[in-house]
Amino acid sequence: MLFNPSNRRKPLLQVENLHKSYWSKAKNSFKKARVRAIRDVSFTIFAGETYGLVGESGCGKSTLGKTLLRLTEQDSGSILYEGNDLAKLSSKQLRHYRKELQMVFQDPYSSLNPRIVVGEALEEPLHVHRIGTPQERTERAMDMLAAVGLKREHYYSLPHQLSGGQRQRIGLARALIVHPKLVVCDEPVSALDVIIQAQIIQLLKRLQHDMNLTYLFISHDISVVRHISDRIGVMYLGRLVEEGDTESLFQQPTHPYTKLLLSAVPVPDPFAVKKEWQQEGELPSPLEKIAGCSFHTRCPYATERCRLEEPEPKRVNEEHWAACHYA
Amino acid sequence: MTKPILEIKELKTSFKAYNGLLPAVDGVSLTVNEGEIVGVVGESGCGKSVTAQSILRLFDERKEVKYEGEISYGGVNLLSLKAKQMSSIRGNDISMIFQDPLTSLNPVYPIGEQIVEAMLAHQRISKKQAMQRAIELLQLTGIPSPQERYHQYPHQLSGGMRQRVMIAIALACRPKLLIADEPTTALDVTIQAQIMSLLARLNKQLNMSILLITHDLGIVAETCHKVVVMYLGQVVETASVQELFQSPRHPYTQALLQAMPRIDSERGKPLTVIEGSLPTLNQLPQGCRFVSRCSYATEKCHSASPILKPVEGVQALVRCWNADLIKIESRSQGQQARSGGEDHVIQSVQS
Repeated sequence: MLFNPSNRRKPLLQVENLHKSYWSKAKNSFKKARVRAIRDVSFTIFAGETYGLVGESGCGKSTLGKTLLRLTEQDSGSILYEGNDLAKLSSKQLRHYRKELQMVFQDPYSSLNPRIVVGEALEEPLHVHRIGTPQERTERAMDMLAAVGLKREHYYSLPHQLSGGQRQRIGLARALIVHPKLVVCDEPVSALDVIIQAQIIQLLKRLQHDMNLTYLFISHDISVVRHISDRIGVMYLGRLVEEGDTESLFQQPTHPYTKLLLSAVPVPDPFAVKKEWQQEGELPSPLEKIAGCSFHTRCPYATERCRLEEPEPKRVNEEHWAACHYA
Repeated sequence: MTKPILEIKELKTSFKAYNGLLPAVDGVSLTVNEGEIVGVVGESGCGKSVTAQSILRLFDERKEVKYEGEISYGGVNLLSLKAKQMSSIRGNDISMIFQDPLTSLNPVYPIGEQIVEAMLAHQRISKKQAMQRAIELLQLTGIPSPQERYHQYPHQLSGGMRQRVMIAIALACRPKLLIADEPTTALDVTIQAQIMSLLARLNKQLNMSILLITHDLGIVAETCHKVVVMYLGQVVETASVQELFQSPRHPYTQALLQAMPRIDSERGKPLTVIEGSLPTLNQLPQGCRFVSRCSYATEKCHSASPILKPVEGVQALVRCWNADLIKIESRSQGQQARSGGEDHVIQSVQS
């Protein structure tokens, strides 16, 4: 169920000052340029909640998800999972934690091996973690199929025989079969049609309740994130620019970027009052170095101070902050 | 406003498959009036893109498809035209923009030349005049410093800019109808808002009709005047945008509206879910095509297939035997007045 603010005080994952950059070819030159995909990101995910991460493509939200599970290595910063810094563990030590931190990917077509049957794909994580005997594994795979709303027959199906929604259920089953605590869902419903999307969202919620899961839910679809998340972080060009509980963030968006993002979402109601804040301009290239506030190039309220000084997070209320000088 | 410029009657587009003809579009009728934006919505595979592409006859008729029915544009049935006559219509009277602007643009020509190309192909115009107009078009579609952009290549532009270039090409010959096939699906939400407001502005400014193919009901609500809902190759409901959102009559339209997480709804309410997935075209159910997923289905729905017909009390056309009986659950502003209980039986999975 929706988590209750009174008992949320158990942090499951604490991220502090995380940095990650890639090397990429610079524009109009043979030199390499550094893309700072994640810049000084700090946040906490509490046990049992759903933390939503929104932002436009290229803002670093997927990189953040992968870095947390150490699917890519971070540059600096710490990732405290139940008090242990994942960033400092050796790959052998990390294996134990891999079981508790799982990931669901966006594209259910490319995240499954086309040549192995669904059942085997489901048992693979159990194999890796040396859980159970072969019979027990098969049993667990069957149980998991039932839990995600598929039939026992699907054990012998190959991915191409399944629809997009069914494949996404398999992706989910494979992540959950090792009984993780934290699941990073990277755009799990973006490739699906609205009716199938609703099925998967309800399934995610039910499983969260039944298996006591914590989600990091990454998506560009603001309506979906709003529906599923308890707290939301908004990312822009590698930074977290605003964070708050869902209610407060939507009632009172504070960072100009959040306001822009929310006003851009089409409202499915022809009688709704049209919002007038139209904004020209696009996301700057991540290769560009932007001094001061990274949003100042698009921000209608930008002043001299924004061009020079990087804003610090400012509290809006207890659960809600925004990194803007004029918040 | 009410003069029709495009009338599609009982269009049937079948693809030649190894086991016979597969009708991807099966008896679609719709009308686009002058100056109107008509939205076509539906899930993937419902035939909305095929309908759009059939209008311009983009499929190879010798190998791929068979068209039946009538597509009347300015009193002429497009399906009866010869290939040469057809190409004088494409890009000239009716033009089209696609979902992915990167694959639609030629990577080895500067964008300006691609706009000029369309004009030189259709109009008696000097190259110099065409260049001048191309720059005007770039300006019209909101591209900053069009003089310099004219000489740039597609890879030098962002996704939003590329879509603006596509729109500029489409507008080059001042078409009366623009077909936009998911024009913003590949774009971020802030850029999507820019492109949609550009299309709405062009619609007013140039009095150009737009047939907008999309899966996003939010976009439909914000830009369209009329909506056509498609399911498995058929039109299941046609209505004005206000009517469709206020009193959807077809069970499928209702399901679509209820399955969508909304930015303006009450939070924490579970989405209403209909189970099952889309049947494939070669395993269509008997009778009504929605019968396997419909909660109102009766005996009749299983045996006979309904036709698109007017419903009591509304302007809409609905393809459903029970349209008169289905209770309209009115939707007050920004709120979902529906709940899991009441008399509609669509299964709701509680979280």
